Amino acid sequence: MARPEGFTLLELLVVVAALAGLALLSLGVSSETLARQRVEAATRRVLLGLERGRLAAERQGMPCALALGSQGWQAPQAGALPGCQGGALELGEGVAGSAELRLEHNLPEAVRFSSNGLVLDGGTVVVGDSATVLRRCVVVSLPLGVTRVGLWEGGACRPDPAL
Amino acid sequence: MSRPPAKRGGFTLLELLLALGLGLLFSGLMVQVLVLQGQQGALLVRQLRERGMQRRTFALLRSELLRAERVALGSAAGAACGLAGRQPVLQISTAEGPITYSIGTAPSAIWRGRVLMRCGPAFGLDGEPSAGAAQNRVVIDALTATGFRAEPASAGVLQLRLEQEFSLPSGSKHRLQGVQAVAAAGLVTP
Repeated sequence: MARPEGFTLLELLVVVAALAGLALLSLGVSSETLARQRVEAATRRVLLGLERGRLAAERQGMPCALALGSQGWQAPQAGALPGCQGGALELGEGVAGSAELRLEHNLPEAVRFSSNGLVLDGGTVVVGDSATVLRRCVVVSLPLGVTRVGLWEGGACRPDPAL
Repeated sequence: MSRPPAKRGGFTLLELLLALGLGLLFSGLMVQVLVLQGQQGALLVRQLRERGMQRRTFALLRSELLRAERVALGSAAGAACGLAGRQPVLQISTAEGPITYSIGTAPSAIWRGRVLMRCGPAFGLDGEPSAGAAQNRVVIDALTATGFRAEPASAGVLQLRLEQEFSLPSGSKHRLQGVQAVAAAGLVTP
C-alpha cells in the first residue's frame, strides 16, 4: 500500500511551533535593538543640541540659553536669556516608541552659551530606555563644551571601548 | 541500433564547490573592503572633531594670553586650585585673577589619557572672565605624556603645541598634533 502524500498533523504542528518560536525570538531581539537605537539617536541629539546652541551664540555674537527637558532641547521658560536660534531639538523626533526614552541630568534649568561660543554650564546627562539595559551618559565640560560619551554603570560615566 | 547514453546536464560536485569557494572568497574580500572604508570614515570624523577641539583650545589660550599681565611657564605659584599632582605648564596673571593650566591624570574615568586643566575665574555671558571663585575644569583630554608644551619662540611670542593620541574601536591608535604661535606680552622666561 502506497504511503499517502502530504504531511501528518504532527509534522505540521512541529513546523508551526518552530516558526512561532523563531518569530518570538526575533521579536524580542528586534525590540531590544530598536530600544538601543533609540538611546543612541537620543544621545547624538543631546550632543547636537549643545553644538547648535554654541554655534548659534557664536554666529549671532549674543549669549543665549537652552533647557534640556524630558522631550529634548527647548528654549528656557524662565531666565533673562533668549533661546538659541535653531537650538530646539526633540530627542525622539521621528523615532517610533520615543515615549520609552528616559532622560536624567544634572544640568541647570538653562544651559548658557556666551557670545563667543563658550559653554557656561556643564554636567552629566544619562539617556536610557525602558526596553534596554543600555544607558548612555554624556559629560559636558566647561568652558569649551568638550563632551564625552560613555556607559552609565554603577552611578558613574565610564568610557565605552566600542565608541 | 542502440543510442549512446545522453550526457547528464548540471554541474559536478567539484564545479559547485569551486564556484562556492570562489564566491565566498570574493564576498570576503568585498566585506573587508567595506569594513576598511568604514574605519577610514570613522577615523576622518574623529580627526575632524579632535582638530576642532584643538582649534578651540588654542583660541581660548590666545584670548587668555592677550589679557595677561604676566605669563610664567612651568610654575604654579599663586594657583587658585589644588593641582592634585598635575604638572603646571602655564601660569597667567590677569586682572580677574590667576589662571593656571596644568597637565596630568583626569579627575574622572570618562576622560581619556592625560588632560589639560584650567584653574581660573569662570566666564561671563560676554565670554570674558568674570570675578568670582576659581573653577578647575578639563579643557581637552586624550593628551600624550608631553601632550601640551608652551615654549618661548621669540620675544613676546609663545609656541603652543598639543599632541593627542586616541584609539578607534578597531584598536588602531592615532596621533594628532597641532602647533600655534601666540603673542604673550608679559612672558617671564625662567
